[in-house]
Amino acid sequence: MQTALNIETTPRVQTQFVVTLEWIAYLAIAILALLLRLAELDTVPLTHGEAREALAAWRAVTPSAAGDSITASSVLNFAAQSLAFVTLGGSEAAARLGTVLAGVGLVLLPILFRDLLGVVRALIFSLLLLVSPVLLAASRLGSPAVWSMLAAGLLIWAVWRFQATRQSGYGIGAALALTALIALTESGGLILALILAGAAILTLLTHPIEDDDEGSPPRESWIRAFPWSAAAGASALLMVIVGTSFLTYPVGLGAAGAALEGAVRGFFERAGFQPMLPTVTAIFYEPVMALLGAVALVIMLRAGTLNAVERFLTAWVIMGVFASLVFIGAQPAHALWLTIPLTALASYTAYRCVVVTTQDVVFGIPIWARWVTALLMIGLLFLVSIPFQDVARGLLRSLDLTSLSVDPVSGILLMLSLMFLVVGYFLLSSLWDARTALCGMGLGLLIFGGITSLGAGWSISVTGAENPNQLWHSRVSSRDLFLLRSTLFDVAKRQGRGFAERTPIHALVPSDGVVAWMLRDFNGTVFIQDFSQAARQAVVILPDYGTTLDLGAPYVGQDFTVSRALGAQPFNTLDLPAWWSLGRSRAPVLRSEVVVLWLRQDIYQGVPFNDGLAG
Amino acid sequence: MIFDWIAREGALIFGWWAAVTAAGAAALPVCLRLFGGLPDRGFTLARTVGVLLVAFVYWLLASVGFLRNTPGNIILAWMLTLACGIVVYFTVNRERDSHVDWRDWWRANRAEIITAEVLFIALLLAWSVVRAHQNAIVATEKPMEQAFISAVIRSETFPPNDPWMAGYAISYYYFGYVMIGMLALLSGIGSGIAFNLAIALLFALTGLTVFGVVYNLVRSRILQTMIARVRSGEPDWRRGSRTAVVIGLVGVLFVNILGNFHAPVIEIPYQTGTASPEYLAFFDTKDRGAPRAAPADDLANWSFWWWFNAARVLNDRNLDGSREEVIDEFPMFSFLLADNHPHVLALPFAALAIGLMLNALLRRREIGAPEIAFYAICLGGLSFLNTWDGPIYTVGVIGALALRRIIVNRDARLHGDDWLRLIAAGVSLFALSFALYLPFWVGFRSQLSGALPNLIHPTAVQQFAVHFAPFLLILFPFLLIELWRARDRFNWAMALGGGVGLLAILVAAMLGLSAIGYQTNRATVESIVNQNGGWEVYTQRVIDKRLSHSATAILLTVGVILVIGRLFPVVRRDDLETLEDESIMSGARVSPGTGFALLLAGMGLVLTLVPEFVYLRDNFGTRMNTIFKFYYQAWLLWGIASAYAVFAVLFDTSRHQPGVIARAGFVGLVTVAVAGAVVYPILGLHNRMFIETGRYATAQPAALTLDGGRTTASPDDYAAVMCLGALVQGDDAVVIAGVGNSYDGGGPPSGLTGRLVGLPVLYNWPGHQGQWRGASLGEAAGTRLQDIERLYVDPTWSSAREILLRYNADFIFFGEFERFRYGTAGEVKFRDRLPIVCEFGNSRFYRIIPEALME
Repeated sequence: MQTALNIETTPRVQTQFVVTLEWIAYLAIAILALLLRLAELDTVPLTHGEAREALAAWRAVTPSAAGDSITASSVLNFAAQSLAFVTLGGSEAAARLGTVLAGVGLVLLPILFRDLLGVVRALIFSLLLLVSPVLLAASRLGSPAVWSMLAAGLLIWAVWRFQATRQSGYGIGAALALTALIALTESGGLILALILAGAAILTLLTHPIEDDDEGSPPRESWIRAFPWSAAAGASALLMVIVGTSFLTYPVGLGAAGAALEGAVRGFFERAGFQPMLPTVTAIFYEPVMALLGAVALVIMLRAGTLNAVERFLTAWVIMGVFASLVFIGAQPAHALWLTIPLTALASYTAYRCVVVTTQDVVFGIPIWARWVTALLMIGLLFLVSIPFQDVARGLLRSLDLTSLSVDPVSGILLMLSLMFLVVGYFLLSSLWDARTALCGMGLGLLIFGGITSLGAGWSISVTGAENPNQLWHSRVSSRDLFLLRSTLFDVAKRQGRGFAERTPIHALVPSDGVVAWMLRDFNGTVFIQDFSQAARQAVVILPDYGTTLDLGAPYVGQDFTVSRALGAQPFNTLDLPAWWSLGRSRAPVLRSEVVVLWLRQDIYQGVPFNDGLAG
Repeated sequence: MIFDWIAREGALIFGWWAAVTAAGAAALPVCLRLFGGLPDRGFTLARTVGVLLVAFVYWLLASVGFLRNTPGNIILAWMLTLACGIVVYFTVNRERDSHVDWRDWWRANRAEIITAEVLFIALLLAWSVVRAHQNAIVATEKPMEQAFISAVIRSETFPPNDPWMAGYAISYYYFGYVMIGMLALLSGIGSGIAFNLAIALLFALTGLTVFGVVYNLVRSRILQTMIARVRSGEPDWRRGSRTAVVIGLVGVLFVNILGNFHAPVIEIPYQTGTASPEYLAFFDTKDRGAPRAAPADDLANWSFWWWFNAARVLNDRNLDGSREEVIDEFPMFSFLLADNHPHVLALPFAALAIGLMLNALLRRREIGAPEIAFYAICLGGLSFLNTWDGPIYTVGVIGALALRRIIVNRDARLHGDDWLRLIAAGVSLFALSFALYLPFWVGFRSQLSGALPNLIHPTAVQQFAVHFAPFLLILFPFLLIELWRARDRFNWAMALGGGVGLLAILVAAMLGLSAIGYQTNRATVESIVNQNGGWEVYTQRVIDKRLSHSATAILLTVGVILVIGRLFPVVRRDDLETLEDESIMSGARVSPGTGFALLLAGMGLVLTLVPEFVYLRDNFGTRMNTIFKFYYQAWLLWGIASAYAVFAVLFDTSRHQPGVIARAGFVGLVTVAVAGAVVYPILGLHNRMFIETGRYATAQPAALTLDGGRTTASPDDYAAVMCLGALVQGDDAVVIAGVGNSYDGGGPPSGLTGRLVGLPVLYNWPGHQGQWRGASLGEAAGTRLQDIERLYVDPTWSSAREILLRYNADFIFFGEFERFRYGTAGEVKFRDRLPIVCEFGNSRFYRIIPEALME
């Protein structure tokens, strides 16, 4: 690491694979990324969107499963889930495994750009992606946006390599990645392709391609060099093989159509209440990346080092913001459209802060200076965060600014910490230099941001998965669903001799929702349209109507919360700090969807199902 | 009122315009590469090609099980088409087209492109206005067509469910309904609106495609003349563009707008009482053989649906004087009637096929494998749209290839090698177009079963002339002028041999089929002969009939002679040394443009000549359908040929221009043709839009709308059916409803769930089912008719239960038709046992629940 940090220029790619500290670092990143994504994956119930996709795959691989077949909206997700269900069985973890692995792949994607970005910067980029809360949440919560981002990354790489070498293999790879991005990932894939196309056009307009360096292939038309026929054939093959799961499920290709339909609908149908959801989500959860990305831009503009790569990243951010404005059907996970390029830009800032420059040597600034500054900064930020959260909690209790209910000690501590921040900057910059102080503070902010980002990502996907206050969640699934499932298994064990598939359940619930997912192993489930069809049935699941229903026989019922949502209350701006830092607001959290499990009296009292089995 | 309507429904029209334009954009790369023979490189044909290609990709993938019928998958099919198009653009004919400068191409064709875009919008909007005035989806076969559209929209897979035979797929050429269904799904509308928008779209697409074909035909001729005359420097590629645009619009007028002469020659005299009985008896058209009781003093008092008789000009009389129905439809009639029947759905694609023919002729080189594949998709699709059309235009393409060889070969003849290549091309086209649409052919049951002789129904020349007057007045003078242009190059020997030979073949075929018919159905033939006075009398009467009605056949044969003689000019030794352009300029051989027009004219002549002697055998047993289909294509072919004829006689600046008097006379004939033929659309539109709808008579007419759904049923029936349609997801439901007769004859409309929302009923319109399924109807329908009757009439539940169990039905409908046909006594047993799901007034659906069936 010491050696890598001291090198300012971009090292050449080694043709021989040698185990270096860099590769060990990547290995550690990969392991950490995997651990962060696999831990407690099974403890969080699927969301409604996840359940629908999972059921599509589950019913495809389990022909005896109850319910109609569903067309998935992501071919790759469908394929991954089908494979996982076949090998690992139907579970929350298996349903999310595909996006988990894709997320790990995304974290490691900077490896492909080592030659372009530099060894150090690529490593920093990878580290930042490791702690990205948006990426962590998206991959843990089964969002197909991870697939589209991975495909986009591979597309950019393949295009870059084709441009550099004109080898047809890279051309075919680019075609495959583009096909995957548009048709096989998700509805936002087409939008992301348009974003990248727009970014490329903007880049070309502001940075015309010049002749290659000496020794590179002579300049020729990309169009003529591109292997059109081979690329088309390979793309068609990819679509057919992946879409139909090696022709075992022909209608699976329809998921590509569903994705495209979603892309068109997304321009007209809003997904959530928040306008520009991806942009807001990106800034909300990764403000440090946004800040450092902007700083990077400023640095490069001042230094005149805004090359094609940085222009492309900048244009990508601009196009991403525009897309989040017009594509109102975007999900929170589409914040990746912005966080990836912002993180790439932020990595430049970090890189500039990490490397030792000639100026440092000349002025005799020790290497450890910035790191000490960073440590001090981290400490200060921790000091700031504690009273900040206190203040935030106090604001929650206040009606308006005139009636603020904040602990004065916290307020004073907060002010002091902020003053210390400012004073500390001037002290350190006088001790060493302004650049070192800024770099140190930037590194400290980055590291602090990384730690808190991890916490934010974990909160979204695990601890706060049931918290509708999280911007990420609009309708959260309750862990009560696991209770419902285990109750049904108890009933099956007791009444149906342990055969879940023989348990006769009549459920008045959507056949593609979270409750249906919980009923996936109960092949005897009948999804009814009207509660009268449940009359006198052994096991019935109905929405909670709030009144007693006449089902034609005595029943015993137990209610289970399916999902929670925030109560209707205007958002108070005083809630903003608590909302951002603690995931709390004064709006009540309500049980938005509740179902009642009704057992017929005799079943409740232990009479077995009349399932025709002898003995 | 118009602006209010546009505010409400303008977005729908825009949506369909956008969808079709997007399809055209996806097909444009393919057109630019594969229509290299056309001056505009297929730009004007791109929309029609796009709709066909996207529909083909979508239908094929859905038929083999890869895709479900959803809007998203339609978009996927569009993207696949675009991707394939891009690949074709960059891989096919690149070297051949390397000289093409697209900027020059734009400058040269700018006027045409702009005109085409404006024309398409104008035609789409114009006919949408017409349909908004007259939006009813009732009468004739509209219910059936709407049912097909609804079935396509509702079906999850292909082939689509038969909306009137639950458990079976549509047994009909349904490709056109797939196209309409796709557009409906994309725009999120039901069949009530899609039906009317489809007619407007067909009107616009037909006009656009015809415009494109005529423009390219004329422009190619102008460019050729220009190239031949330019001695130095670069020709001005923009010259002649405006002339070609104007003639293109003339083509649209001839094909889309003009009617036949029935209105001015027969209908007006009849309705106004100015025609004598002898006059009307001379023409002897349907229902117009004698004067009406009292003349009409106002257009509003004309006979109900008087305009319908324009498609019944031909009137076949049996020897005993009784009448056989003959249909002689033409495009304006079709658009006025607004049936989305296959022959109408196929019209733009038939025009496209003519564009394919023209491209095959004009290309510098013979069409290769990519073109063969593309042509096969288009021609196969045409067969899938309307089975009669595919073979006609496949032969047309072969004819165009042959013509190309004739023009290219120095001796203007076809040799052995040419024949072999033509045969190979024909076999390839037929085989590939069949193979590409195999999922359709596998399940298709045609009613065609051979050919029959036409002994006693030759067409009266006056009827023929009334129907085809606009084109006869233009084409025959054109042929005569070409005869004059050919001068001593006119090949009388080959012309007479070919014309008379064709006539002889047809007569021989007629006699041969008669002999075969006698051998196989001796008893029937003997019976007919005996009814008509015995062999001697019968034979004499047949001969008298044929001789007295021979003028039509003679006229058409003369036309064939003129065409052949011009296409195969007399060849002199020095012709073999002359360059192609020079020999065309000298008249030694025909130019590609003129040759193509002659080819189209010749095809029309043959198509109208053949039914004078033989016709195709179908369920009707008469030549009605043969005349219908052949005459319809003849109208299209002659309409385009006539537009070229106008150019050739009046504007072609090559040598051998007719004199001023001749051209003035020709102008006069064109004026008469247009003036006479435009009467029908003017009066017909006025009648359909204002008189029939009552808008003429009321101060506060109903609001304009394209939604004709509510016109199909009573308000209660309509509401109940739409309620069920919204309630049931997918297509997995069977509805039992009353069985109605074809054309909703004798009662309220039936089969409403199939018609309006695509949910199949057990059985409906048995007559049409028989036409579609032929001999397999018995097996498919079984005892459905009787069972449904018993279900509605028998008051006992046990009988009903057994029927419900047999058919695994989900709902039973009691509406206006069911009460009319079966009474209300049988409903009591359902009311006592089954829950009602959708009820409006006296119209209701009963849900069939398992508990009731277990009793």
